[in-house]
Amino acid sequence: MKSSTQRLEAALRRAADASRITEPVTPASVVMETDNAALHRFAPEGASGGPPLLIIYSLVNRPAILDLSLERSVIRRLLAGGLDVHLLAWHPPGQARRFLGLSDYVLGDLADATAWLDRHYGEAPHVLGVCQGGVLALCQAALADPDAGGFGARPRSLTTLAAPVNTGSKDDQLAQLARSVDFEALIRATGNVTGQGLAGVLASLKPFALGPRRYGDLAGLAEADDAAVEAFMRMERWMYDGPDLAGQAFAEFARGIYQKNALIRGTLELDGHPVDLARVTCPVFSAHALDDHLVPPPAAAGLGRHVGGPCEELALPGGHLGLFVSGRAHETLYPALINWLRTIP
Amino acid sequence: MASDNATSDNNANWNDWLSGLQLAADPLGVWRLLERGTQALDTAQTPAQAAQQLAAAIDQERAQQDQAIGQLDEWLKHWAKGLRSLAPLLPDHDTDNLPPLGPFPRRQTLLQDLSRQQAAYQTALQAHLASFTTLAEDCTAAFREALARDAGEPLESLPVMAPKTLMAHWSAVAEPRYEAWLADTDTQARIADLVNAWSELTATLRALTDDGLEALGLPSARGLDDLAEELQRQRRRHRQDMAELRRELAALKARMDRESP
Repeated sequence: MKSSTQRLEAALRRAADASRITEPVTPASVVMETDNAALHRFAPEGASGGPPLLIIYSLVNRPAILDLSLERSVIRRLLAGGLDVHLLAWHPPGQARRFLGLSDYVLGDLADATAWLDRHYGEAPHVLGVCQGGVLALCQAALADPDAGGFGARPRSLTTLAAPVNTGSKDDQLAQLARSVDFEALIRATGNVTGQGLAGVLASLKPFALGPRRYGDLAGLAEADDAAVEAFMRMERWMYDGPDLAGQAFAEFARGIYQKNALIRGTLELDGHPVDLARVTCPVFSAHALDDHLVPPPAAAGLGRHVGGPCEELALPGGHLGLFVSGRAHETLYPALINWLRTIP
Repeated sequence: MASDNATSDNNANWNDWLSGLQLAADPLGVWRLLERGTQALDTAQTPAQAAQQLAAAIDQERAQQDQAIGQLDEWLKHWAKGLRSLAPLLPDHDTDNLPPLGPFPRRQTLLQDLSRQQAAYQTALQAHLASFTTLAEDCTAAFREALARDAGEPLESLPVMAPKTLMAHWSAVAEPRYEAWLADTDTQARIADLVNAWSELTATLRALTDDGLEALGLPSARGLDDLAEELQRQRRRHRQDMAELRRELAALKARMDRESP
């Protein structure tokens, strides 16, 4: 029988070994580059190549959470659903790109990626926006309307997962904390915003869950199988290895979405083009988690009242990350989403 | 945080000075306190000892923070002195109560700003720390009460308890209080004040440093920002031109399709 110290030491050794594994769970190749991102196509052996789907991930954190393990991979779930899955992976901005704004990402990268997929496959892609990526995807879908500027291809359908579109609720902790911060002054001081700093702020919202409770049972990893240890360390890396954020885009998002609630109020503009959600006329699928402390239900729910097309909403018990890695999400959300996507003409 | 021996002219160094302003790793000081608290509970044998060590950990963290605040003034004086020796054009005296006179009004104004912003930052930090300390002390008192109440005995007479159990009690008591504190509008206003004060102070430090570097003919952050902004402006213009061109091509193609038999 090993002592608790021996068990902890064994767990830490295994975790250290697992932390050196950096290969992605699902192989992908770069099929095109935009100004600030690379478009990856996931093509494991036996992939059939169905209708194209483009995943727009948040500028915060990396998309590894969508492909954390063989059993809990959103990417694999979508591939198995017959979709040709693409991901727009953002390049972390160096200081030379600190003045990148939201318009550069939406009217540049998103427009270019959707237009390329449209040309390449001869059909508009389904688009899936994750968290902040959902907001960016909504903006692009609205501005793809030729009368709104015609930026990129109009998506065949648009799915948002935990997208903070309406931050007016008093329960929106991030919005409340952001309310009186001078973000222009902040980025004048910092240039870009470090991923580490932002991870620290986000973790400070739930320090007990992410501190003592998460690490308190670390010794239990000594007896866990390799996949569980690897998944733990992949999650660890995902939480604290976020890329830096372009200062200007960060400030614009914080001010526009979190302070002014501009997307819902219809006052958001990108390069002078008003973002009108009513111009999102494709079918929309919006999912959120009921116990999400980062994007609380009022922030993500009710999108159907604002977009111009039909909207299906799904709420799931659990927290923010549960939407991507929980067994419940993989048993209910993704099968429902895939079935819904199959109904889109 | 800065090392403890960074108070004299002899051993103060750039890292110490700058680390006094580094908010990025733990902007609210939450993780340092949590780490100290966990260590206190890990090494405690009995609940009474745990409560005592938790209180001591909070005191130690607060003392270290107070020391860091006290050192900030000294660090900034060292820093300004260093800048003046690098770039003698900076005024060699504090200009708090003087109007900007003479040939360097912008630098004098920056130095006045620095003095005012340093005071504002220290005030904001003190207010945040006082509130955070009060919260931590409330949690410790509730922890003592909860342990005694659950056992139905005075805290001092409770037997040895496993660190894991102590931690579970501590989390159950402290977590909801912490979350309520964070959701309080006064806390949120204090945090915003702290972030805003830090931003202003750091921006002024950057501007003064840039003045010093430019006086020596060296590249400055301001100069690099100018380049980055110009590059972005060019990229944006290129993107807009390309989008316009694509729209014209699409319109042309549509017209040709309509006109072709």
